[in-house]
Amino acid sequence: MEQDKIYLLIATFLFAIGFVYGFYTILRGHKYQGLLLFAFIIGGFAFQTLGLNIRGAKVMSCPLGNLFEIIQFISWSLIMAYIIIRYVLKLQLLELFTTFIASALSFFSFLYPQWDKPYENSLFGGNKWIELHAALAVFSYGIYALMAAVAVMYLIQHYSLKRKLPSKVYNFLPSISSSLEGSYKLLLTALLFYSISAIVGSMYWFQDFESISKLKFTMTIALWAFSISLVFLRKKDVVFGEVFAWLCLLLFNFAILTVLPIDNRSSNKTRDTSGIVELHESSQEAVLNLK
Amino acid sequence: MSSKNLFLIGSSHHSVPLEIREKLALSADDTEYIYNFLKESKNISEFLVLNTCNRVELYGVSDKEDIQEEVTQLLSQLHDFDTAFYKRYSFWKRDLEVIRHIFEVASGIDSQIIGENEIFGQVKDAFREATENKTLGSTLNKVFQKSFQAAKWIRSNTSICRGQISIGSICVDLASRIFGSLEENNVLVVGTGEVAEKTLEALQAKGCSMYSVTGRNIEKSRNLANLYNGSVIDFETFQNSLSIFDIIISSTSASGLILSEQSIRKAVLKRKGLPVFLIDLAVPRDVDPKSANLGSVFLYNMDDLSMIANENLKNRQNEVVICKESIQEKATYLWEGMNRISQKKSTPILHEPQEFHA
Repeated sequence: MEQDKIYLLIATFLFAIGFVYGFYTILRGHKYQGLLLFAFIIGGFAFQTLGLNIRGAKVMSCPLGNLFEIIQFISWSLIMAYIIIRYVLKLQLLELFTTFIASALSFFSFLYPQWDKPYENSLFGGNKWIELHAALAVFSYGIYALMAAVAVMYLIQHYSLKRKLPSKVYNFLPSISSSLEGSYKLLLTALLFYSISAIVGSMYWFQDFESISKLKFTMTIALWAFSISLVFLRKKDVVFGEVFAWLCLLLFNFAILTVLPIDNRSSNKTRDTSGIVELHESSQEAVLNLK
Repeated sequence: MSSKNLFLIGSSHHSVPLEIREKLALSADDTEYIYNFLKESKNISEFLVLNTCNRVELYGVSDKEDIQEEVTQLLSQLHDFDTAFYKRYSFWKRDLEVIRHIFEVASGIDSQIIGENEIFGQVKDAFREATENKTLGSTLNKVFQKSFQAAKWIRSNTSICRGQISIGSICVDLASRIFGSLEENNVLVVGTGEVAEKTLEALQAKGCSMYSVTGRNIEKSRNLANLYNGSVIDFETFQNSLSIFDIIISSTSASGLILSEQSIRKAVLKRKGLPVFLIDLAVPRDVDPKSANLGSVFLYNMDDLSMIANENLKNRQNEVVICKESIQEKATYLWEGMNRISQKKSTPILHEPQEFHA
């Protein structure tokens, strides 16, 4: 196995061990050692950064050239977002849910070796703006993932309160009010990064609209519209509570769906500037076959 | 003085029914009498009296083998009991058993309400009183200091104190799971029942400060409101302002429903998704149970709260076994250490396990 993959695998295991430790402790009715779990997160993040860095040096660009790399990058962005945002949100158990999603995404990326297809180096043709556009878009997906984690926390707490479940485990979860507020803040942050990414990308769409994959372009616009509608509906108090949390989850799933049609650079047919990477007819078929 | 001469005589809720416990309870004068009397005793070198509503215990150190008779007589005379009668309702422990017992008492695992915190303060008070009376020597001093450490360790490292068991505390726990910090929450109390008052007390302890009270008896409502610096709302019209309240506690003695599903629905619509916590402490119920179907309404009645209390108590009871094992280990360690010291007075005590220093 290549060195970058070994590091990424170590990171995956560190996230998973952190999650198992935290989950087991909580199930036993105790609060886990926050510092210990954070150490697993930081350790995993360091290995993941190292792995992605080696991969980036190899492909001479931000490693976003195939599904494996994109999922790894989302997982990395999730942890990055968590490390930055944890002091702002101050939500109990957020680290536990973060390790769960990070390890799940990371394991998922290793599931199909064919997702890590080789592609031509210098993915973005040396254009730093496209690279920035892609990196920001994937980073926003990481924040969407964190938003989904907080929404799940809300739904579990809401369910336990409604069902009057007496387990002390629920006392460790944050209140429904703070997790709802947290998911809304994360939605705004994700939308901000996604919008900046779209603005940077749009400079190229205008120049060469014909070369853009229409499916990817539509999905990009749809994700942006979905996010902004949700912000608007929440702001106007049209959606709230449970419905808002479910919509946050749906939004994250939709964001992940927009990643699925992405494949590698094996074909030299087009360079997609509308989304994160180019999309090929063949890769769409491959994804459909996988489904 | 050898540490092997530790003794304990006492009675507690475990073996003594309430009506006898009432008779065995010590007044402040009784305690003072015991202190003054035993200070003069040549057979007892150290002692401490622990007197709570559920237990009366005398801890001491004595070289005399048959010291049991002497202290039993003292306590029987104090209560005007026949010695045999007193013996029937009291227990006698020596040495390691004494250490284990006080560790369990201070940790709250020997309490009637397992894991309660009050006992820790009571043991500390008893220790302070004995210190002031100068009746503690190196043995009891060490045993009690270690019992405080053991209690702290047990409370921080096991679940013995987790999960509330009083209705007021359970309501606060639930409110915290809904709103997080309770400082900004508006509380309405409908009716002036005792449980509602206790719940208000618990909410206030958690930082709640905005209260309104309503009830048919305006005088009682005003009194309760004054106690918590709250305001009084007219009982006839309070339903019009339901939407401004986050927590509503209802405990009237009305025979029918006070809060209909329709009035709650109206309030919920005005609150635009903000959750509302309804606590129905009344029997028969004040709040229409159908209100629980509304998305942002969290309705708990007495049965729900009692169920949570029972579950929490069960969890604490399950934890007792784990606590007892830890305490046995710590008590034995202390006992052996103390014996080593008394055997080789110049040899310092061995290092204790790291975990002991909680």
